[in-house]
Amino acid sequence: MEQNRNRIITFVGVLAISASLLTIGTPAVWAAERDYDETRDAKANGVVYVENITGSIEVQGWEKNQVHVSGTLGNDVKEVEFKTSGKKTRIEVVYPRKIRNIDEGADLVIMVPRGSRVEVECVSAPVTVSAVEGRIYASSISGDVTVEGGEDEVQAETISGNVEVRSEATKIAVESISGRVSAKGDRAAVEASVVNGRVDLEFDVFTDCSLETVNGSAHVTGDFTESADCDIDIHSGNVILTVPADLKADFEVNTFSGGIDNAFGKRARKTSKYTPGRELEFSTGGGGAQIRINTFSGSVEIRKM
Amino acid sequence: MDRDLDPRLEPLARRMRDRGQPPERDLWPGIDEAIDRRERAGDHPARTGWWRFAAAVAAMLVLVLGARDLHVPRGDSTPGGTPSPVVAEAAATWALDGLDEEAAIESALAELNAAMAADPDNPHLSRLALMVHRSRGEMLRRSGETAQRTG
Repeated sequence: MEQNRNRIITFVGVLAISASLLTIGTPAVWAAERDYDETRDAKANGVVYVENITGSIEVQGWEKNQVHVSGTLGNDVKEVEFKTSGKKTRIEVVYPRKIRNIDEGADLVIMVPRGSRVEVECVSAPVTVSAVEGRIYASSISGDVTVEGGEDEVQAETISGNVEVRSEATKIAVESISGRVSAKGDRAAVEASVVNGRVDLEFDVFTDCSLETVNGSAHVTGDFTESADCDIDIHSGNVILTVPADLKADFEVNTFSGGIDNAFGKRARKTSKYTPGRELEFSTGGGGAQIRINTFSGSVEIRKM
Repeated sequence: MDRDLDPRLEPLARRMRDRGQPPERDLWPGIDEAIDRRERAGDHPARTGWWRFAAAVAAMLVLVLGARDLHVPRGDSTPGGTPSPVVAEAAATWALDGLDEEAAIESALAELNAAMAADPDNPHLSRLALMVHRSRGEMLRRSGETAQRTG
């Protein structure tokens, strides 16, 4: 009788320990949602790398020579690797290697020295970078990318999502495979590329401009330097170009199928009696910037400010 | 309009008919009849060769540059994190989503090829074709980068 009781107690004990081990081994339990708040000293003009799979990343510049990371780590987050070495600071949200789906990632706000160069890469997470003066590279595979600030060079890209840039940088590249792209700024060389989506560019002055869409309209507004090169190539979509009335430029506009409306007066002519295409060449202000617009299927409208 | 269509214009006219883009003047009955007559006869116009050469060169450029991009490490500009199976899943999801974009690119190239066959001396079409090839190359580059991140 005593022996049987001992066996039962041993059996129940083993069951309890097994259940405990199983419970401990479940990431959702040992890694419950928690807050994260860490600070490291950093160089005023260092480089900050950020990587996250899902959640959200917001990077802001501040006056301190420190990098401060705060936010919430979801159930599926294993840890945050936050390391500094010389001028480099690296922040990586780490997930368990064998996890099948990540439902709850990390939502982080990262404060960096204002003069930092910032590079952010995410998979399925929106990215926002603001008030940073150094070079900015922000990308996501599936998520919106927003950049405000940057005085040197800004590159913002996503595969599926919208890209929005407002920057005083002198060189700006924006790209989305599928999504809307918009950029605003002062004086910059601008590159914009979209497969499916609309492009809006609005700058005080373009020093150069390259814009391509396969499917999507383009709205371009601004002045051009006399030495600027501007190429707008659209396969399917309309172009609206709005420029100052006293612009100095040489225009070359061609559509395979689409009309051309020119506020500067000269009318387009048909390229062929069999196709609806138009072509137009003219100069304003004695010439200067080289502006070439080319569409396969889409109209072109040139407006005065 | 009872004469045969200029062979160089036939692919364009066929595209206009199939895609519902009628010409501005009423040329339709003659064009339609000419296309049908030629299709019934199984007589297809000989395409000029230069655009095939241009397309081949463009495709080769895309492959060479795409391969280079896929193999050049991004070095300092990439944090280079630990590969994760979740990234692979995200990449697979994107690959499915990307079908629309790929279809758009293929459709654009088909349209451009047809137009170039009809209007082989139009340099603007060549430029657009190169642009679309670049877009395709960029998609390949992106998918390659994503694959690299998966290890």
